[in-house]
Amino acid sequence: MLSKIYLLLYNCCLACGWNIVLYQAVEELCNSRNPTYVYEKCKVALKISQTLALLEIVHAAVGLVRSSPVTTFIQVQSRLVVLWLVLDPVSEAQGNSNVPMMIIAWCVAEIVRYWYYALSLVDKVPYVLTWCRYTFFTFLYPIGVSGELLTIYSVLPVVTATGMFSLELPNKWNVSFHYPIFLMLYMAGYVPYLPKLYMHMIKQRGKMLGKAAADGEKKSN
Amino acid sequence: VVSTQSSGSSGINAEYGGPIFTYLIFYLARGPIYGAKGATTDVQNVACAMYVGHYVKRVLETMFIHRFSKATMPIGNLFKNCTYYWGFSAFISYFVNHPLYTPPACNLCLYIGLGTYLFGELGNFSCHLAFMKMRPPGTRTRVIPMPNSNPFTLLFHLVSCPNYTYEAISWLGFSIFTSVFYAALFTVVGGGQMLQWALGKHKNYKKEFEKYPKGRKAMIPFIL
Repeated sequence: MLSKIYLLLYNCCLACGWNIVLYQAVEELCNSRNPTYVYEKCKVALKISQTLALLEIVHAAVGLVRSSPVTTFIQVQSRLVVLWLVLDPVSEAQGNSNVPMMIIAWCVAEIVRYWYYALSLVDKVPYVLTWCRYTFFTFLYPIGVSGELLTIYSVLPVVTATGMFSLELPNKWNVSFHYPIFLMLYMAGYVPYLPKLYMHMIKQRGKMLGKAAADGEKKSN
Repeated sequence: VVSTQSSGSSGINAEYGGPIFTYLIFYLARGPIYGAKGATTDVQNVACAMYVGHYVKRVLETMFIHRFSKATMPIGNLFKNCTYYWGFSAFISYFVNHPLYTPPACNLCLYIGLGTYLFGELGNFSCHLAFMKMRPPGTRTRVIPMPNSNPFTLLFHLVSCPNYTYEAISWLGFSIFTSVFYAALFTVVGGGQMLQWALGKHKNYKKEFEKYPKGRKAMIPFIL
């Protein structure tokens, strides 16, 4: 019971947090009509909301929710890498047009997801919300991933020139780390995951929308 | 008990022979690879002997000592294992044999590292010999592992899989000797995998033998 209340609170807070991010991003776009300051305006709410998602890994690991902690970890870390290790450290890349595209895609996806979770806890998910959750991904996923890949790509020149996050020989531990190469490998890593995750969601869509429609019919009968 | 350690002879030789080849590439072709001008240092030479020696020992053991429960290994496992062994081998070798390689600051570390490595190798070999003698040829009888006259096998009193314990010690020694991050990482990752295997085998032993010694742990004496 207590865990349900906690999860309800968690999901509602996160939904509101992402709502704030969306509002700030869209407001800035409408006012200035260019992407330059969108990240600047919404970055505090964005950082808080996205970083809190780390808790979801804990929820899965302790069995509070029925997801795999490994899958949750992969999803959360991919956002956190783009946010904290790519976008935030490189101010030159924060004004590009791919940034608001990526942020807004994240916002819409997360708002739908968290409201879906919250209402699932009290068994009051309206069909339209289920429909959104299992349909929006068809375009949000490609838009979001494109935004993330473009963002990573856009920081490569700066990262290479400044040697940021990189480690050169000689050093005591005889290790070197070339951040631009790591980022390029990271981008390549998206390639096998994209189609797998997308097809998984397509399958889930068939299952969940079919089930939700049947549930709706049962309730009305 | 089948683990990914059991495999057909060609699989083993790819898994354990491959790293020798991968390590030696960086050791021998330093000119083309790094543009290095000078010869390798003593530390790099000994490190090469330690690394290659470990895998030569493994190949020989596979040919003459190990008795396997299963004849073949699924191809997916073989690919994954080879990537792991060859990959780490390349990373470790690249940094040990680099012209900008920095040996550990204190000479004592070199002696401690080498000594630890040798202790681990001898211990591991002793355990493999002991396992071979425990299982009569051609049979699949299983007995509770016990120490024999070799003092290294006394560790059987404390853990079910002292061969893994000694192997982890061996890699620890190599890491101390070379002071290379990827060697330390390999020790941790390999140690973790072996611990997982040890826990499985330990559980099986306890299930199979009612009188299995109570104080024994899986791989880490007194702890796990």
